[in-house]
Amino acid sequence: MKKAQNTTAKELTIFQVANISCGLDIEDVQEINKHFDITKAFGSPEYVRGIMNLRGQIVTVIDLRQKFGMPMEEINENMRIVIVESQGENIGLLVDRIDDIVIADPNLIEPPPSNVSGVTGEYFTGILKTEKSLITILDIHNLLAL
Amino acid sequence: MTPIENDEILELFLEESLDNIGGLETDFLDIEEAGEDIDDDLVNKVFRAIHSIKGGAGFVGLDNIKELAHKMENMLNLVRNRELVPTGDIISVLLTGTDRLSHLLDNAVNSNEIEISDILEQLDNSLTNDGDIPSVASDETISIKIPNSDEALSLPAMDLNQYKKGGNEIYYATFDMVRDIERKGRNYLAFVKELEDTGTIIEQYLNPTAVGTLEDMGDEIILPMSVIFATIVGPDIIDSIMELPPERIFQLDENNVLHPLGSEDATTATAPATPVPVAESEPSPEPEAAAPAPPAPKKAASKTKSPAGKSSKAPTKTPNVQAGSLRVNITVLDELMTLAGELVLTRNQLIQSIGSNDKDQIDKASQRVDLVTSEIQAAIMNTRMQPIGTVFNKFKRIVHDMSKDLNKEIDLEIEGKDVELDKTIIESIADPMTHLVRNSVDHGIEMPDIRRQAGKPLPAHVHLNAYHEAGQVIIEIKDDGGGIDPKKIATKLIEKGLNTENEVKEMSDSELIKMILKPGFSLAKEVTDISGRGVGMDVVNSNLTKLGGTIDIDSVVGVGTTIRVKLPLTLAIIPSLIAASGNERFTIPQVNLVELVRIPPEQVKSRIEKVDNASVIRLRNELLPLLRLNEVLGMPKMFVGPSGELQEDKREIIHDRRSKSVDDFLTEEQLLEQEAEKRLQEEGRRSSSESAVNIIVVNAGDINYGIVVDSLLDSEEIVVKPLGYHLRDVRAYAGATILGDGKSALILDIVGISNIMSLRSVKDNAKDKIIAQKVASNKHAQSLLIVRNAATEFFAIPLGLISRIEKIHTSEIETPGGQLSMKYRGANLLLFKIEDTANVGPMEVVDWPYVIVFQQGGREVGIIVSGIVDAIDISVEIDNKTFRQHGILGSARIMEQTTMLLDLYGLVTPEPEAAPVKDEMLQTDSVQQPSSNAQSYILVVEDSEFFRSHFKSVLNDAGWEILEAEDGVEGLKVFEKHSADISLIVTDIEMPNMDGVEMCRQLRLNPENAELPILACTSVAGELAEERGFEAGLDEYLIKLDREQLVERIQHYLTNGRKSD
Repeated sequence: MKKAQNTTAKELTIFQVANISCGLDIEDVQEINKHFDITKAFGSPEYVRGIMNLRGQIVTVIDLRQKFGMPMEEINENMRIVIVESQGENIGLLVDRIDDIVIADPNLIEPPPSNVSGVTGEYFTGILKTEKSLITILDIHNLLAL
Repeated sequence: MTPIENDEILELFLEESLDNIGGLETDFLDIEEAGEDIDDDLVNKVFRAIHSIKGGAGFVGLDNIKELAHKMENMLNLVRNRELVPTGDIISVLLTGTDRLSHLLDNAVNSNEIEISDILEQLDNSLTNDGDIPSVASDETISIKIPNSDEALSLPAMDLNQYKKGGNEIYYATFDMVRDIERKGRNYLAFVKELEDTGTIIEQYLNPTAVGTLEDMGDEIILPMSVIFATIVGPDIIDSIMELPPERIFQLDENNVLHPLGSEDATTATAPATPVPVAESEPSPEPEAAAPAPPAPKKAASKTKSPAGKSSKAPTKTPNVQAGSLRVNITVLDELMTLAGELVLTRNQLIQSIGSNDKDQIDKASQRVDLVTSEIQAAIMNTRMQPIGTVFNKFKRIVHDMSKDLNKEIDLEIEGKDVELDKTIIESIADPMTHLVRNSVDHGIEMPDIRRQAGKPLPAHVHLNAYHEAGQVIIEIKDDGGGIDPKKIATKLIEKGLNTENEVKEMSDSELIKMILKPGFSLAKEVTDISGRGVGMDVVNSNLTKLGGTIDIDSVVGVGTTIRVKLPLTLAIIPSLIAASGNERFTIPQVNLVELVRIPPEQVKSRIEKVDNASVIRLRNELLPLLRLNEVLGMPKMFVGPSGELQEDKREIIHDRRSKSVDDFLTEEQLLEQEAEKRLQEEGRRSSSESAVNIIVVNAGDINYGIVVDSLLDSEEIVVKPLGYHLRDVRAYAGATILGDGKSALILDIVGISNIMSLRSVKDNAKDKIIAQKVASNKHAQSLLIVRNAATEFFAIPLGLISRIEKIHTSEIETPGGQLSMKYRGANLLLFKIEDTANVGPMEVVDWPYVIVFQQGGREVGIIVSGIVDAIDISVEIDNKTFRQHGILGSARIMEQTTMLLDLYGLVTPEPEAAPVKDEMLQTDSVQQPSSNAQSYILVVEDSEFFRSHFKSVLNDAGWEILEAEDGVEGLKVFEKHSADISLIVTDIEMPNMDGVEMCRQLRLNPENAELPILACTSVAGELAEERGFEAGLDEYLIKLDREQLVERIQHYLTNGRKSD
């Protein structure tokens, strides 16, 4: 059982990927930007959207839609790149839009079901139920594992 | 001792120790080499290094390290005193000790738990085994009478002698625990530590008999503590170190008698009472207790300097590579600092001028930024440069150990240790180089008895050399072993099914030798412990290629093998070509680049051919496999949309990518191939009718291939950045970079791509029969530049002779003194017009004529033409009669046009009046060799018909008869037939079947031909190539078409023979 047990409230960045509302611990987020000079890296796994120049550093951009097995979308105004750190390097997550930042009561976080809208549950650590919606909390480690 | 307590001190110790240990291996091997003829400086240096490690280890409480170092030090001490001959066994034990020591140092914190008793035992054993050493039994003692008392101290003789020989002074000091320690606010432990900082406390004891009472408070000592202290500190300052009054310190003399500090007896070099031999190197004759005391004070006097000297000396040795830190010369740092300051100033300047919008100032500032940036770049690069000696040095050990294991006698010579390479390259070449050296030792060098039979010298030689050439570093591994037998390789290739018999037959020897770089090839007869473990030369080859390096193998059976590795100086910033395919830009490292080829639309069909499913391009005499970048990478196919912009055909590609991801790897490649085929067909049609094809010819180690791209953009120096881990397994990319516009771009991995596509050079493809025929029909193809002078008159110039082509404005042409010239690269370039020499139509009037620059007699000259028509590879019949005149060699029908072949050298030299060259030569000939000339021939070996006819006319004009051959093989045949009549050979270098160098080598194998002059005539030659030619026995390199030089040199050799130069 992965149910979060710490009692301190978590701040979550909430963003949208297709029809899924995702939450990411704000501590995991390095920055959010809107830098879309993405160079495609053909021959890479499909979910790799490409690479970009983040102040002199080459950052791999992961298309979360494709990671979740959904069709790719053209870049549009609402899209953002969420920069997270993993294995000592920065990685960009391409998301459809940023929604909110919420403070989550850990007691309201439940373990994830085996899949969320068809996306395997291993990418999530839990589900936060709010009045309006269900927020799936991302497991950065599994999500970025090769 | 106290455990490690201070990280900083520990770190300092480790850093220093690693430095100290770094050079040990080499030094030990040098010591072994010197044998009995001991190099005192070297042994002392090693001794000091180990001594420092021991001292430091003791200080930070690393007892195991201390112990091991101590034993090694003992051994070295015996060597130093000539009591022990540093035989191979002794050195081997010391080397093992060094290994263990460095292992302990690597794991310093846990080193006390690491088991070292085995090595200690080994060290002890080799000491005792080595028989005749008068080893001082450790339990023997020396008794020393304590001054002002009846007591005597017993000290282990071994220790005492040890310290004395180590250049230490031995002091006896008494201090008062109460007055000297307690009342001065000192702490005994701290005091001891202070002492240990400068030396070693051999013995310390509380002297109960001397304890006074608290009542007699006079000058008496209340709680006396005595220490026997060994240190390199001289008697003049020992009291200040100990912070004791001098009268309480005594110094031990030769005879182990204590004298008060400052007294005559102690300070003079030798105790006059006992004339013990003074020479430092004198072996101690007796193990008896007190007798053999080396002249400690004298040594001490010379050694007192060493505390300072030691620390400065040790680090100059090889910097340690393994650590994440790097030693940087302080001047380089200072330079960087200055440049950083400069950069800040320039930035301010730039900001200011941008603020004031002063364009002039902005220009100036940006120029400065440019300048400072490149200087900083150079300086930073400098900090990363490391001597290749760090890699080379370890080969001494490897060769030493291996020759022992294999019972071979091998001498390793190392040259060029100081040649510097980028840190990353140094790190990555270690393994491939090791493999090459191991190969040389294991496979190259024969067993001693075989060598004796062959009359070859013992020990065998392996020669390592590094040097700079043309902005690259060349590393050579040369052995005088058995060489690589091409026949064996041929057998092996067939055996392994890598090639068919016929294919092998068609390969030249050098081609066969190159086959050892192919995957799946290992020539070792049996798998030994040392090589043949499945990592073959192919791995070495691909690793080196990854670094932008290349391998060249030269081997002669029975004589030896030379392997040359070419490496770039640095990898971090590399010049590269930027090309585009579809919407994406890619960079290709310049080191992989061979040439750029653009095929005009109308030739696409004829020049790009299909062999099986692969497309190839015929380029000069070679067939190159061709790849389309978009296929390699699975990029969407682009087509030109109705409005002219590129659009992608998405549907198909998405489908393809998907299906690929579920398929296994093999199928993926097959799919790719099928896909490639399909597209090539489609695109072949399309491009043949629509557009020219841009091909980047690249080199991937053992194979060249062409990459088809949509456009070539620019060349830029790029900074290589690593890719994220999601992309690290994509073999097509070597990294990424950020281009001038701030966008990222991928760097293509040329080797990786050739692996993905499992490219094999077209030559070893089973289908090359067809190709060979095609090539044969095209054999005499000549690369020609077609130019225009008068509007309708075309001229051809052999491309190989041209240095550069410049487009200039007519205003740049000057005519001082009637001679045309222009300013060119800081000098005057003489210019000539074709019509000035040859009888042809005048140049048409254009604003922007072209200057064809070429070398003539060591300088550059230019010919002005009105336009460039084309550069073509063509096989033509040359008519050297019809238009023949000074400056024109002849004519040919090229592209439906009568085209005259220019004689560049004739154009720029005045027409000889009544052919003086000929006359002169004839005269000389008739005087000096009247009879021999009549029947002697010059053999011209040249594959191009054009040049053959050129040679023929030149040589016939000069009065010589010639024989012709089309390549090396034929050359040998012709020579065999007419060897008696041939007095000189002129040969081309690059030829099919057998090149000129190989032919020359074969000729020289026959001692009868030793005196035959062989001249090479070539249009391109590098220093390296020339050197190889000279090694093979070529006498001189001449420039093709330089008629005067050719005649002059031939005359010279005919008159004076080979060795007169």
